[in-house]
Amino acid sequence: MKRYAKFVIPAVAIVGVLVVLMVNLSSALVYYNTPAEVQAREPGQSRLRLAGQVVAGSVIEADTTVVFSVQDCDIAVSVVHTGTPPQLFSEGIGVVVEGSWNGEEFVSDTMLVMHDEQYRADAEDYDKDLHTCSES
Amino acid sequence: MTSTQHRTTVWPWIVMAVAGLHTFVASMTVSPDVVQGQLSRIMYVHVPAAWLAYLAFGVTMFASAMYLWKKDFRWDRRALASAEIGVLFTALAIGLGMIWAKPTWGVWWTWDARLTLTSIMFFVYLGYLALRRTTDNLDVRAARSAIFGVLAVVQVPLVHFSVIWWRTLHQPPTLLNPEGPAMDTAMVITLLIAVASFTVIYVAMMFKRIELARLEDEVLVADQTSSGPVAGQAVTAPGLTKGS
Amino acid sequence: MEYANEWNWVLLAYGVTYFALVVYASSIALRISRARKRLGGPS
Repeated sequence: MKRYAKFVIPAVAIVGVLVVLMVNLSSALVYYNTPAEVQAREPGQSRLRLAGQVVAGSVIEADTTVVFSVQDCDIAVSVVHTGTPPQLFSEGIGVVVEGSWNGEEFVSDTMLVMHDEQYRADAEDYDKDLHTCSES
Repeated sequence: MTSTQHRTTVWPWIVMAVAGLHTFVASMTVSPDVVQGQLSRIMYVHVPAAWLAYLAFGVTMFASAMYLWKKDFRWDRRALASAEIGVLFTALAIGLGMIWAKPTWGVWWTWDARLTLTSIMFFVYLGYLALRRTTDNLDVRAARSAIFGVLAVVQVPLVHFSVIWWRTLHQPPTLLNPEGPAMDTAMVITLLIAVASFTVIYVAMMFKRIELARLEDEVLVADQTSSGPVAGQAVTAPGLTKGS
Repeated sequence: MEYANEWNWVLLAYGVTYFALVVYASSIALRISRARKRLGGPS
């Protein structure tokens, strides 16, 4: 009985955790939408994620909001973000914003910086155009 | 041969310390990355930890298959040792990833495919360790866990290729990039030093963990063969006397 | 906007790494000596 309990309790706990993870996995497989996909959507309240590169020269910072455009494959969407951007937020970097699409702008309250796979000591070696188009 | 005649090995402890120091010196002296700054140093422990999780679960698969073929308990103990160390390194890879993610992405955790699949892998191998506690019968335990150990390895390629197959927040592999390493040569060398050092730590840990597994099996057999205090001479059982 | 120093994160990461490795290695050593004691041999 003791040995039985020793297995069943962890087993039930582990199976429970796995079920939760599997449910999360289905939505995790497509983590974000591209600007083109967002533009093709009907305006609405549904929550989604948008990813792209921050367009150089588009960033306007105010007290509590940041306005900028994100671009992927030459299609740009403007974003109105409320909140403090992450430490590495800058022009040219990839970001994922979470919020809703109102037909004109993407209204976001959560922003994640998407770091790419490049590791370079020198700015000259860094390829800024590596992820300008995710469809390539 | 009795259990008391098995000598304990000391060299793995020394090897672990040297390899650990080696990684530290190498990863603190290399140039930082232009975008991430000093945060890029976390990569020299995060990537080796993830690599070792893959390696350890690969070894568990191999040892489990060897057990099913040869029915030799030494393979069962190697499978267990590697799985336990693999769980440690999976946890480490996840923890270090979180410490990197908070300042880089801006969040500790998010449910993208790479992170979700890695946590599933962690819990499945915890399940492997739990499964081994279900029975005192060495044959039954070894056979059950060997089948589990072979099947569970499918998660390794799933975790590794998740960043290529699906849209994830986690970046694609830098070193094993399909289009060649996207990293400076000095950093590649540093990372390879760290990976090699961690692999040495894994091998040293395996030696000690296998020694422990053999002792634990001897204790188990001793408990089953005598109800009184354990006598050293009584501790012999099939498959246990061949050394580690 | 204040952000934590990058070095703090690096130190945290390396601290966690070596702490985990040392704790695990010690747990193996402890379990070995316990098992040896149980088997009645010199540890």
